[in-house]
Amino acid sequence: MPATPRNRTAGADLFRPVNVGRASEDVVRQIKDAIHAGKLRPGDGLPSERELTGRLGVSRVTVRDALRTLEATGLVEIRVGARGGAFVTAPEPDYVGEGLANMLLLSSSSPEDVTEARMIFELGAIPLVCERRTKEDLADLEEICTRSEAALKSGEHDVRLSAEFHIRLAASTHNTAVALIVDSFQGPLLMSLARAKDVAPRMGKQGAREHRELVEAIRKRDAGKAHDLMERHLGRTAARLHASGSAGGDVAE
Amino acid sequence: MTEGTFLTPVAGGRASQQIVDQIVGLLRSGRLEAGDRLPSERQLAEAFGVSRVTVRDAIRVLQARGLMEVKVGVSGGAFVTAPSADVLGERLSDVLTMSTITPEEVAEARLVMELGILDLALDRATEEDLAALRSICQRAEAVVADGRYDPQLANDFHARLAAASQNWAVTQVAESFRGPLRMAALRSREPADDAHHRTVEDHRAVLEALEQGNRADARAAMVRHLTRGTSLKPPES
Repeated sequence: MPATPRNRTAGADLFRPVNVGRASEDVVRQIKDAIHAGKLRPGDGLPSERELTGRLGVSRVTVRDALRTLEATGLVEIRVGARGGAFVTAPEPDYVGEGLANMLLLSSSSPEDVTEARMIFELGAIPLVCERRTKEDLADLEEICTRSEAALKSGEHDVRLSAEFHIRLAASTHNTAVALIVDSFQGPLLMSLARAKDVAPRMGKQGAREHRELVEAIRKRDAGKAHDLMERHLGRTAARLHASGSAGGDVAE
Repeated sequence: MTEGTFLTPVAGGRASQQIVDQIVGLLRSGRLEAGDRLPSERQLAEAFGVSRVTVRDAIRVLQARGLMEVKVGVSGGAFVTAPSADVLGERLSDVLTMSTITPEEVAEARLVMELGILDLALDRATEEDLAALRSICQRAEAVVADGRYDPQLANDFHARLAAASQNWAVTQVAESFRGPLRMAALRSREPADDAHHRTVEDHRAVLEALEQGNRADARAAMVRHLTRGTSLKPPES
């Protein structure tokens, strides 16, 4: 039955904005799936906007929106000019760390909790490092220790050297995933440093000494000793941060 | 957030990127927190000295990073959010899939994570945690006895174990990384039926040792579970 015409214009409140986001999310998903499946590798060019529009059956605005989202997360680079277009890029080194930092900092995790999460991976790495470390690993770790000690002697305590030590140690697992995860924990730690540095300097010397002891235990493949050293080393950081009321951990150990 | 107070006009370059950087800086320093609402697009455009299109572009970038949520309606607007575990997990997946990592390495990283979690759970699991784990095991066993399999229950087991650490950061990190460190690539080497049966048996063995507070058995059961079908040697500890 036809509706009786009513001389009335529907109020704007009758309509809700259409979710244009969903179509673009779907395009993002499809491109990411292709990356995850190895069908698209860093350096590969994506089809043109026009081609994607036709193939995916969506508007050009939707495609552009999707590409912008991928660009925002650092998976796609948009180049302009004659040889321009959208290209798959390898994410920045801090890609995972940034995500971790954002999640933990914005959810106000306590420094103790964050350090404990970090310790899962750094302590778990120890047996692997003791089993697999090469001469080159040991030499690199010692070299970082030497630079840290020199920096301390000249009155500068560079916390980046401490982060470098922990990252190099994790790389000695010869497991890309473990190394990547340990590495990603250095991000939130660095950022909270500003808040913890007032208590950091006196810890520099002890931290540097403990790094040396760690290298020695690893050289002897003494996983038990290395484990205890690392536990004490990282545990102290959490206690210090707790005292200073900072959040997110610290690399000044 | 009070409008415009600590926002400075941006100059040249890619204006939307500069706005993103300013807002991320405010998040990092704690001046903007999860739940805060940003000023309106118009107000932001004025504060930054840019067009509304540029502001919109910046907000979309923040949304893509899981830092901002846009709600529509009368009480709508752009709100600061803590990124979900998925956002972080997705990032790890992106990097792992672009590197030349072997399924063995993935399994080993997962083992490192689960053993660390198990150690914390052994110290801290409450009666409530144990009851929840028992219930998950029972349901999974019933499903398998029925000739079916529910991967969600397998995931629930590990999630509940992580929660038994009583550490929110650990729980969230585990939630993020479990996906990218999933065992599917290895499990698919086993006949499906075997894999399902063995998974529920393995979970039960971990649970029983956890209930008894038997660290050595619990760790051994977890190692067996996660090195199954791999050439991995369990790391000594």
